[in-house]
Amino acid sequence: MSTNSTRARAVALLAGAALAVSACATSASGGGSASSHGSSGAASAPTNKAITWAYEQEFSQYNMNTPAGDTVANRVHLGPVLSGFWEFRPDGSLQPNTDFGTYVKVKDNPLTVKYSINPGAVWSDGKPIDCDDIVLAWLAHSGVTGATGFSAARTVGYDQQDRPACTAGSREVTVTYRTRFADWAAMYGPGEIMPAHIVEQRAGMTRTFVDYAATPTSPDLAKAVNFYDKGWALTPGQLRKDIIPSSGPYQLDAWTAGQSLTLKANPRWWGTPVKIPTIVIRYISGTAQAQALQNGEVQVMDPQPQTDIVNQLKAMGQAVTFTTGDQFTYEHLSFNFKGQFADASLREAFARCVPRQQIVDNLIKPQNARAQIMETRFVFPFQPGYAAFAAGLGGAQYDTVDLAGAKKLLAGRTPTVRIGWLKNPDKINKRRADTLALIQSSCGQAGFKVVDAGTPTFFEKEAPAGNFDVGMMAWVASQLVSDSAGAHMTGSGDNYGKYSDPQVDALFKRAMSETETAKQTALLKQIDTLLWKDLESIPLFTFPAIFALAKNTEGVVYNATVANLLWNVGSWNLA
Amino acid sequence: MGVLVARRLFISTVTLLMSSFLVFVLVVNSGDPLANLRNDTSPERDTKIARRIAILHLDEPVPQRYLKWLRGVTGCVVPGRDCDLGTTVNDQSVTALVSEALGATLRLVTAALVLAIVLGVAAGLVSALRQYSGFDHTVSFTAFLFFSLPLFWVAVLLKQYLAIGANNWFAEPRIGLASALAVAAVTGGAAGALVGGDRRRRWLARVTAGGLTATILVQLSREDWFRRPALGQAGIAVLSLGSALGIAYLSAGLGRRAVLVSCLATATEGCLAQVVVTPWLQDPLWASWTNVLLLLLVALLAAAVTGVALGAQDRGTAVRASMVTAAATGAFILIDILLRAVPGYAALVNGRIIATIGSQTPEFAGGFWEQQLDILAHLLLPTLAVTLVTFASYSRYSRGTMLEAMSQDYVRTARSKGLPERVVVVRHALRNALIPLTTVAAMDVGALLGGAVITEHVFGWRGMGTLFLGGLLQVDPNPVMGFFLVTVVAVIALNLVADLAYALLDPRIRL
Repeated sequence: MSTNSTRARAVALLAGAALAVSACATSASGGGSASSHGSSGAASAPTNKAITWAYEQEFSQYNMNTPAGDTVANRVHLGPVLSGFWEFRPDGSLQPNTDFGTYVKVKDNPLTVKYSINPGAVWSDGKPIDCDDIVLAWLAHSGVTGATGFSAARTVGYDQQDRPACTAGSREVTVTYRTRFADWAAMYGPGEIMPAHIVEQRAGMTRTFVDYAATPTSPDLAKAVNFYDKGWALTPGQLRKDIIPSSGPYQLDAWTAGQSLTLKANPRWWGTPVKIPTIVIRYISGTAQAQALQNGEVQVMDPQPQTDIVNQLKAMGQAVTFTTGDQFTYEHLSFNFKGQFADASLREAFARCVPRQQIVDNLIKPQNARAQIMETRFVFPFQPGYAAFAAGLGGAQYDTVDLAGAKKLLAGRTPTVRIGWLKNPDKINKRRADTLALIQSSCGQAGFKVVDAGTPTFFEKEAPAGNFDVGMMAWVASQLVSDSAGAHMTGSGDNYGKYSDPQVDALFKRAMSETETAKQTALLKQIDTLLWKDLESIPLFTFPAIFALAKNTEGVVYNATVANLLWNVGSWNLA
Repeated sequence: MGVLVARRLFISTVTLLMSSFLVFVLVVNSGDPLANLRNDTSPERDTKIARRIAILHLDEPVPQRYLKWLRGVTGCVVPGRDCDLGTTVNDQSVTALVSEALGATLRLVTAALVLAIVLGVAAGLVSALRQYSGFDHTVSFTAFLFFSLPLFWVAVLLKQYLAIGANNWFAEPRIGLASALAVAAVTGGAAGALVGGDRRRRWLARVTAGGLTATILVQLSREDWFRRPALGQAGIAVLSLGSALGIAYLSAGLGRRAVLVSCLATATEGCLAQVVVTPWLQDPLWASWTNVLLLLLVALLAAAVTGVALGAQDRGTAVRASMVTAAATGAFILIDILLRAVPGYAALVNGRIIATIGSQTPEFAGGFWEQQLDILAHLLLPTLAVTLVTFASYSRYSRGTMLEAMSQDYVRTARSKGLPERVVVVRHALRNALIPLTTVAAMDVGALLGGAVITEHVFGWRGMGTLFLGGLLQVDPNPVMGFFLVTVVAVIALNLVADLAYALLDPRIRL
């Protein structure tokens, strides 16, 4: 017992002493070590400059040319990694990528284009970019490989080409078309030219694709097809760096699944040097992006516009650069020509009561102050040449609501109009619902009974079956003639209203084989005039876009095309 | 018991099969898996549609598609076959996606769950002991308030004030007298409510706690502590000796000197060891979790030895209490090291310490402790958000069960035996009150594994909730089924575990 209490006292003393000693020591050593830490931290201040872009969708594979890999997200991520002969400018026009190479139309009949790859062009693993890569792109896209061959998400144009003429190792390729093709300048673009040597190596091929160009249905290609199709699908978070070389200014460097993907400057890039060595794409949902920007976690953001986000960004004031813009997508009303709207007077009456200006003013201008009514189906209001194209098409007469005119055309009739649209009850597109309400109220005064016929299965059932009077939908417009014809030509899958006009069909066919841009535009203008005359559809507005940058970020230029923001990533910089 | 487990497993398997079929049918019928392709304007639309039909086997009847899925799943249980949960519409392996998502969810919810349980039980316990006091009402009010707040809104507020606002403050971290007094008023109020007793005693507690808080804050601010935070040796000593006192009190009471002495001795040993350990762990060569765990083991061993040496006739209690003290001291040393890494971390992230989004800073280039800080800085807000909403159920449950236990006959018996109040509360009432909480906790783990959909969404984590939601919106059955499988298995397993734990904790229950 006594030993215990003595021991206890000893320990208590020890404890007290230790406390006193350490208390004395702290003020000196504690503070000292902390400050030394601080200075060492300051010394290793960020010298490696990086810009982070908040983006909503994750990367999934290195090959965006297969149906499974053909997602907007893959295209966006691969833009700075897999170069092609051209890129989309923000205004939607094509800009040749002279770093990668040049191409010229040699003659018109037969249409012949000569491609020259930059002599210094190499894959980031050191292999030169040459004829073999071009031949692979052609084999994969043209559909010539037969039933068990490559499946491509895009074949148009390539399926009209003969096999590219070039010899192994050459950087000069001549492409001849069997038929004239309007979008010849938009072939072999970003993401389409894949590293052929990787496929040959991984599939264990003994010959190159150049050798197979003459016999594209050879069964030997099966292994290559298999690798091309599946080999580049990546497990989230795992970049297999040995099979994903870069032919652009940046290479895929690191990927944390669900979080971010890092692009690092490609050390073998032969073109204009980049200014920022590291670009980080962070996956952040639109509603969380504004606060991440405010907290300095991202420097660039361009979410789908919502009035809430716009207000958040406006409230940040001078801390961020905030601009609004437009997307290459337009909302429109499509008449169903197999129903009551086969009657032209009814179409006109409806067009006269749709409050196009009010829709733009109430629904779009809060997000994009420069918004205006879309008057054409092919050129967007923010593109150069819009004013000239839109002039005299005939749509301007429907800009303002003319209830008296509509009533006169209706002549006492009170038709019931079912407006069909994609209405997912879980996430109703508020803008569409509001558009519908504005049309309901205005056309109701003219005598129409406008009914909301929105369904979640609209594009699956109602639209193909013609089970609607007016379809409310948006077209993601491409800048290529070959992509925009589908919605208006007879029998085409996207022509839900079953509009058919032999003159329009003929003009489209001419446009698609017209190789001069000016003549293409003239033909499209004729088509647009006819579509307005027939009131095939009523274009309403361009989808707005919003875009914000941290104050110290420079050189970022909004690009609404599929090329997206990264189109000029090489000139991004930090002040 | 073996029979019971076998029977339960059999029933669970049947339930799992039936419900998985039901869910599969519901998911494949929840929409049009080709919807986004139907909007496609490119000429190759038909090829893409055909491809997706092939991937999802849309041309086959639903039961056949289910069997295909089931065949892949059996690989997860049958040895020698690959665990195959199918692929998404974009040809990605669902097995990989699920393991990725499960990892993220586990990281996200573990800390939150532990925190909610500890804080909730503590708050519930105290408010039961001080029933109808100001503290009780305040806890009830806050619990219900947080429980009913919409999580996405809380998240936005947390980001605005605890991240953006706090980071702005860190740029010039000073606390004015007014703010110090405001904080002091809150802590003083809490202390007064906590202490209970007569008026004088409560006022004394208020003034002491409030005054101490204000003084410390002002002093820290004056020394620019917030720019270079650290506990320092003095801080560690005060905190660890204080916790030694507390642990000794809770486990044996201050009257049993041997326990108290061995706790204090352990804390002292820890403080002395800190002088060597801290520089060692700060060395980038040695900084790793393995070494931290190793040191913890050494500390526990030393604590056990101390307990044996000083414990006298209370050897068992002394060893246990000393080991807890050692763990607490270790935690303070660790916190000190982390705090000392803050300035370096702040420099790496441009002074924006607390993150609003994601689970880590991409391309982070810091050392080991900076990396740990990075993980903590990203976990802070989501953990707080989840804790706030789950806190309510634990505090209410533990308050209820505690009140019930306190009114039991055995508690009255214990009191009438003359046991000290501490023993009555901790050993007789609290232990029994915690038993029903095992069920709540087990169910919560199961539910949280299913993902905190909103939390994940607003804080940019791709966990189970995101996987489920994404699959459902795209009408992509395989990710949804993968999610379903993990969640259901977790719920079934944890239910079983809860039942078994019940039997262990409560000898009256026999399996």
